[in-house]
Amino acid sequence: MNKSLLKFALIAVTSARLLAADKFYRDDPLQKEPQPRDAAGVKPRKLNDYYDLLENSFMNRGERHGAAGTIRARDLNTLDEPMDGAWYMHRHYWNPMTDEQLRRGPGGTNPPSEAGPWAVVSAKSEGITPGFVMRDSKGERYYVKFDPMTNPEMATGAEMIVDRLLYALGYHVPDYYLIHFTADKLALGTDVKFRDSEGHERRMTQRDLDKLLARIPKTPDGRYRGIVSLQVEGTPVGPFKYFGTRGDDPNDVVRHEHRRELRGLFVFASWLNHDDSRSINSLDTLVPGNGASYVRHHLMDFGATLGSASTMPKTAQVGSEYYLDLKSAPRQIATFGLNVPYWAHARYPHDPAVGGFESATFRPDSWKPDYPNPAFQNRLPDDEFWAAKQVMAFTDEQIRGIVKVAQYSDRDAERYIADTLIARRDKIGKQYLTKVLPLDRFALADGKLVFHDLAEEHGLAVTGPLHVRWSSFDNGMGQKSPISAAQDFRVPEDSASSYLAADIWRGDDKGKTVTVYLRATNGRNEIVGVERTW
Amino acid sequence: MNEPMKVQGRSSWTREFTLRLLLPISLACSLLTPFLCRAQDTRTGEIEQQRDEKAAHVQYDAPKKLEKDLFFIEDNKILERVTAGYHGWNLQFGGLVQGSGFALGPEYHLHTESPGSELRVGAQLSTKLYQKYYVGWTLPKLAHDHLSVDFNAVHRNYSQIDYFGPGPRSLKSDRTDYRLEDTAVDLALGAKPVRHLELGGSAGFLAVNVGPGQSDEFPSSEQVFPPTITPGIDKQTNFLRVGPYAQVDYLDNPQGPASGGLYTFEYTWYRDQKLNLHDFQRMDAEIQQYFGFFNKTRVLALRAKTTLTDADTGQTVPFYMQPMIGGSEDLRGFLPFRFYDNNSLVLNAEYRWHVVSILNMALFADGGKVFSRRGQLNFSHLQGDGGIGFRFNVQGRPFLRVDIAGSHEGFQVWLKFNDIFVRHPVGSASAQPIS
Repeated sequence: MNKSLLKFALIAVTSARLLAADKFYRDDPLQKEPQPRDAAGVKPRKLNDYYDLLENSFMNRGERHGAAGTIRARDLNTLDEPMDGAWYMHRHYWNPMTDEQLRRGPGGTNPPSEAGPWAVVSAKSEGITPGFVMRDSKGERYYVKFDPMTNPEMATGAEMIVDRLLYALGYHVPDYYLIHFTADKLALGTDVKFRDSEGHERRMTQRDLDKLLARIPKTPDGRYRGIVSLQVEGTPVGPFKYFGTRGDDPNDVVRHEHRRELRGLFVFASWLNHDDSRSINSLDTLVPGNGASYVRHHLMDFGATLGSASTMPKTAQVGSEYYLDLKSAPRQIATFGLNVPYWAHARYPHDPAVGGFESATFRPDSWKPDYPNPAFQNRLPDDEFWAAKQVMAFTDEQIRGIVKVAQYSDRDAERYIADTLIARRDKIGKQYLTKVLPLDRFALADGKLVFHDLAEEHGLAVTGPLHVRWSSFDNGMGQKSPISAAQDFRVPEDSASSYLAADIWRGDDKGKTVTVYLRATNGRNEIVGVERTW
Repeated sequence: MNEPMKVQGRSSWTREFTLRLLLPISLACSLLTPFLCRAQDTRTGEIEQQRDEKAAHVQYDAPKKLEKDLFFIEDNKILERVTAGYHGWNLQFGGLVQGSGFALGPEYHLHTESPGSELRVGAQLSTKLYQKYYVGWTLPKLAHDHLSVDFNAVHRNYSQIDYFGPGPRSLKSDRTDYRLEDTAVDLALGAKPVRHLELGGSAGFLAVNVGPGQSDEFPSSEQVFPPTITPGIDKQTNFLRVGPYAQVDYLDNPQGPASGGLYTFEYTWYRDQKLNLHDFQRMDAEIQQYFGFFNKTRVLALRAKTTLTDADTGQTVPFYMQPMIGGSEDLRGFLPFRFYDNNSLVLNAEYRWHVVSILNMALFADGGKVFSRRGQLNFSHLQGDGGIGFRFNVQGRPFLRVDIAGSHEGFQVWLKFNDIFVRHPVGSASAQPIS
């Protein structure tokens, strides 16, 4: 009997050891995605705008949190951060950018050359917003867009600001520039293809160009103002979706609805009123690198952000309800509209350059894009915290500096946009930072675990002091053994284990904790893991 | 007897499995870990393994059938061709008089930028065989948007327009119908001296013919109503018409106004060119006012309009030129063209509210009357109705209107592709009862 027990105990120990994967691998934490596999086989694909609306509104796409529990973001390293790579790059929050870098955004060094004419090489008159493609004297191709007649500077200004902010927030975005020109700067190229209002493609004439320019507002000095973007690096292969993975991309192994940077994009989109944050405004490109190609994922087309709906000012319901908001409809029908939604009380300045943008009725958690987005809907408090801490990292002065890139002719418009972004930023901080224990940027200094308490840094209410409980940590079994002698943030020195865990909470609230994992290598501790509960 | 044997057998098999297989493997793995038994021991390796597995099964994300269908519509420019047309040609849906049934027809549209002219030539046929043929040429923005010219020629053949007899006391049970066939040619000149104001005048020719109605359900009008009660039912005439107009327009959005106002005044002289029986004047006045609140998600829309006619001494206004009310555009709880007389007054009030982006709803009340003498222009003896409406929008513009209205004469359900307060072009062409 005793022999049998001994055998089974031995088996249990060895089997558990075998079956349990280490929590931390020796190369954790990864700061960058591993070198991608060659994805040269990826084929271009299109996405139908209406299908995307229907699919996301009615087909409940993507894997959702279920009865079995929530699904945390899955594209993270052990520090609870996405890795630098095809989707995302750590920028301003981690490595504060200078004012100049913030204003410059993703490029800033390649505006259209002022030397010589700009050759129009293709154009369209479809849609309400005119636009064309031009080539400057250096041979660079630029996509050109304009403001609606009724709202000079609105769409182009919004696009410039949001491009800079999303770049600083870590996304891959195009390189945009504002241009001002007179009609004689443009030269119609030979055999330029043109798609007319009926969708027919034909050769473009000077008259077509004149008609197109007739739909663009002029500045008081008689010039046209437009926004140009360079083609993003790589070969376009179509947009990405906010759920599932791209079937022909071997590197795309995490479902998009579980990607932290796409879940967190909800917070950024709400801040910037980017209701148009949908697949159609994304672009994957096949980028060469190290002898192979990989797919890089971009956000683009920010003309419908802040107070701009591209061709007109935003109305109050934009950013507040889905196109097909079937949840709120019954209440509106039953109450004959007497139940006035909070967003209907919004007040906007009568400034054409601003459009429909304000902060008073902004509720960060209630904000909505044009239609449901699986990644946005899957967001969890840790995703929101990840985004909110980045939003809060922009100082008032930095926001005001970035808004200047819009080159508003009216200083009041510039001031209003900046003030509104600041006010919305603060609401985001208040909403999300306290959903979790907002400690971040952990480091070791002088034998102590140090960190930033974002609640205190941003003036949010805190309840009680921070507490810490140290444990030695079995990396294979995932078990903690408390070290009772350690009571403060000084790292215990006499641990028998190569891993330590520090559980931190505030006051009596043990529901919101942060656990920081340390690994001792050659006598030196390093932080290898961060986990949050809420 | 069998139970112990079964237990014994299982125990024996378990022991053998444990000793001979599981224990050695477990011990070996434990010793060799992490070199042999774990698939990966680095995060990089783990991710690369996931990529390897994906690479072994890559597949192109083919669009689903619905998406393919939508691509077909997009690639073949079907929507553009339906809405903008094909080489100028497009299909025109609806737009005929109420009660005509579903109407459809081709239209040729030529737009030129300079001087900004619009030419429209078209024909329409409805399910009740109503016909309309028209040519319209407009120069709306001459002299830097200060002058406009509008030419219209139309021939209509409506086979069964309802008629219930003259006056406010006509009976629903007296329903009859007649054929209205007319041809009109009109030219209007407008000037916009200041923003929001347009002044102008128009002149035109109108030839009218009335015939037996084609309904199988109701008698033809001339069988029930003699010329002494219904002037003009026996003989019709041609008119020259001329008159001035004025319009103030400060609506925020002509396609779906939520604030502002539209005030229209027209005065038209009709001169009988054939019978010398029907010389008269007609005055049309209409006020539309919109009050939007809560960011225009709620709108109070009000309209008052009156048409007054005045026949010269010894002359009459023929019944087919009398003001008429009832139906989808004014008194929605009543049948189309329910009331005819020399004068009319219509009052409408709507409270509209936003439900979702594609749907607005409305509670409405209509009041109106016809009357024989202009002195009866007051708010007494109004016919009333009320109801609820559903307004479907596409890209912020009203697309489909479903109004359900009730009155003492019953319920009516209207399905229309226009706004309730239809914005008619000004000028003599619009100063016509059935437009």
